[in-house]
Amino acid sequence: MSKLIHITLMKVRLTLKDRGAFIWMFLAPIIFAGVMILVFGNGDKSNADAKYPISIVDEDKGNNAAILLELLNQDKTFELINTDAQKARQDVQNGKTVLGLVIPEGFSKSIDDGNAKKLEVLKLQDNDSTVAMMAIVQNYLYQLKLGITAGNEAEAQLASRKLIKTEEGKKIKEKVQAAFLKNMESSKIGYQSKKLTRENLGLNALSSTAIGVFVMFIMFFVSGGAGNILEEKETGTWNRLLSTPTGTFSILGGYVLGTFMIGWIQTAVLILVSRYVFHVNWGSSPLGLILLFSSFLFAVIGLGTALAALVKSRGQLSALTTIIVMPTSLIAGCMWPRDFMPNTVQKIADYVPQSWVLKGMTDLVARGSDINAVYFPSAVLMLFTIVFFLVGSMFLRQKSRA
Amino acid sequence: MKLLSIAWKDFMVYVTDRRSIALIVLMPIILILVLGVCLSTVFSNGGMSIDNFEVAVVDKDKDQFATQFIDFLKSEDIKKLVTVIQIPEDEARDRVSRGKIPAMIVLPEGYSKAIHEDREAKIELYLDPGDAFRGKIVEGLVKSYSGVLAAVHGANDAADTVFKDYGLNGNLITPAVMKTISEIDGTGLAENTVQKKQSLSAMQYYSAGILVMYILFVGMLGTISVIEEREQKTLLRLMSTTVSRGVILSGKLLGLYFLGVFDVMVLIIFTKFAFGVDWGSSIPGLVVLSGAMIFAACGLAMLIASLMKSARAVGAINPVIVMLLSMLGGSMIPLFVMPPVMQILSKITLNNWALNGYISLMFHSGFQSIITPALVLCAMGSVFLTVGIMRLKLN
Repeated sequence: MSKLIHITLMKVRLTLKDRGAFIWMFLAPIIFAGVMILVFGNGDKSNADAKYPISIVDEDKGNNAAILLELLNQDKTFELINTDAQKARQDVQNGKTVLGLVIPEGFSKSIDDGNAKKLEVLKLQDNDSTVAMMAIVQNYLYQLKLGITAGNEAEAQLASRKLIKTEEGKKIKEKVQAAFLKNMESSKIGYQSKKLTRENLGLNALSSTAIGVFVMFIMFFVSGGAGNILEEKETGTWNRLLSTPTGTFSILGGYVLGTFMIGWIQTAVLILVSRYVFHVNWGSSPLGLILLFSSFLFAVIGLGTALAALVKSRGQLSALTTIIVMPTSLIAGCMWPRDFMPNTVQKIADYVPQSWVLKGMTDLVARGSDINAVYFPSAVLMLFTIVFFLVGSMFLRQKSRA
Repeated sequence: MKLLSIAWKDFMVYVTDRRSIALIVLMPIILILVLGVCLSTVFSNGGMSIDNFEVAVVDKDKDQFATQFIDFLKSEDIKKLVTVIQIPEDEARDRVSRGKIPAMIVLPEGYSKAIHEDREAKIELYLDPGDAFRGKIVEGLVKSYSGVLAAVHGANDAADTVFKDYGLNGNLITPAVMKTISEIDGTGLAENTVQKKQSLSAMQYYSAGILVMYILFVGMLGTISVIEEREQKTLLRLMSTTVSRGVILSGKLLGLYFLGVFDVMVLIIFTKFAFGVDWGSSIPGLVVLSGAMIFAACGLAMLIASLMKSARAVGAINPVIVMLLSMLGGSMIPLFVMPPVMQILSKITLNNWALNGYISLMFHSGFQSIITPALVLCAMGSVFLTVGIMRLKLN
């Protein structure tokens, strides 16, 4: 046992001594945390009060288009940017605006005629924001129709009672529509989002995408570390160690623990820097975080070791790790919500460790749950660890037989 | 001639190295494939098929508009999306906080009465912060309902204001308004009012994003090659021959350039035929833009080679650099979710310019749309290359 601890400490000391590795170990997580916070700014935009910019091209310039724009303008979700068709297209392409909305020529007249012309939507791609936003725009089209109906019907009612002259009709219509817009602006009917629990801690929420990218990078950081055994094999020091009376278990255990500690230093730097420098919310259960990330790190090291046992050189290992880490992270939902994917893919994703750490993180960070929420994900991750090490030792045995 | 033979030799070294081919050809293809499978639902028909999920509704009002709201949630179109469960508030609260259901909707006491009396009437929405995706759907439903309800009342009241002068009541227009609503119900939330047009599929977007990202990885191979040759002293040996430093470096660069061209061709052709990705109609545009991006990536590779000492360090650090650049440049996440500072910052990344170029080609904007990106890339590449070559030590 003491030998195991010695090897562990030796490995950590060696890494800390190597100036390049040392800088890499601390600087990379810090830079990474900084970039993450900058990129994701104030957390998930969909939840925050931030406005979505939308390009508006009004080719109609008619009365009804104006009403629609006024309705959209009243919505706190949007920031309307009036522009021309070409600029709108450019802004959508460059990602400056989420959507472009083209109100075609003759739109106002077509609504009055009862056969509304379709709005043209410019968008770069379909995602949850654009889908949600199109539903909202659609709803305003309904509201517009209701307002128009009110104006028309008011005119018709008054005319049928002979209370107005024909030429007054237009005025009545406009009056009703103006009143309608005013009513909509000051409407007391609506909804409000409320928080279930927890007071606002004044911390930045970490969006689910940010958590996912975090997990992916930790995986890249740590799985590389497991390849150190290969380096020792290449230089022959591994065999020398084996020739000593120290048991294989102690040596391997020492290596795993050493990599684990180095992995934890990086993870801790990442978490602490983002928490105390950038005020990112990491939930209210430090113990839960420690348990969850420890299990995750073990699983990643297990994977790294299994892969290291499979390949011959460090170069092969780094190629294989990227090929495995990236797609599995995507499947697990590190970059987008899992619900985007077909059911089959979602089921496959359960067999990928990242899914479970994401699940636990969502409970800890987004829901603010306590340690109870992460017992199950952690147990699953430990199961992954066991499987990876078993597979790894199987590869090693096969190799030594060959 | 010597230049060409060095270039050809370098190119062959890359292409016959299984590891580099795995990195720059196999890897992006796997990624695009995974993206294609994962996101197939997103862009197959513009809407996702989400499994029906439960939403808790707590009705403390038990009056006209609360019942109407629940009926709305139970209507034909929306029933497909959500299942209403009416459970006690405490239980609903508990389930949402544990993430068992994504949302609880509370219709507060006196909601209907407040609407009749023109007082503040707000539906309360409690969302599970761990499930923003379904939360957004529920919020959309609540927003739709209260929006239409507000519009109906707004319309009635508007008619009322005008009718007052004639001694009539606004309710006169109610039948017509209701008729309009019933027509709306028929179309539901289907996407027929907002026409779908002129958008990229997710597959197109990510194909372009990943292509750009892997051109940078090609550059990384070049960096490693230069440094490895320096470590193994083969560059020194070459220098001792009659070949000049300029020819050696140009040869190596040209070899790398060939590799980039090879990579871009393989990826574009593969995605076009295997996944039907539309790369636009301007072949000259594709050629010029890709050429400029590969050049810029080669320049960046030389710059990094001049800054780093060991091939091992490059192997460890470069993937992270490439990924950070890709993230900043919009290869992974659309730029509009980032704050304005980032959008400006992303302009200094090669990826952003190249990605924008490919995207405008995919929109069939023609050759002139890529002139600016291509020029910017060439300029950036020249600066990187000059600095890199000036600083680069061969021994």
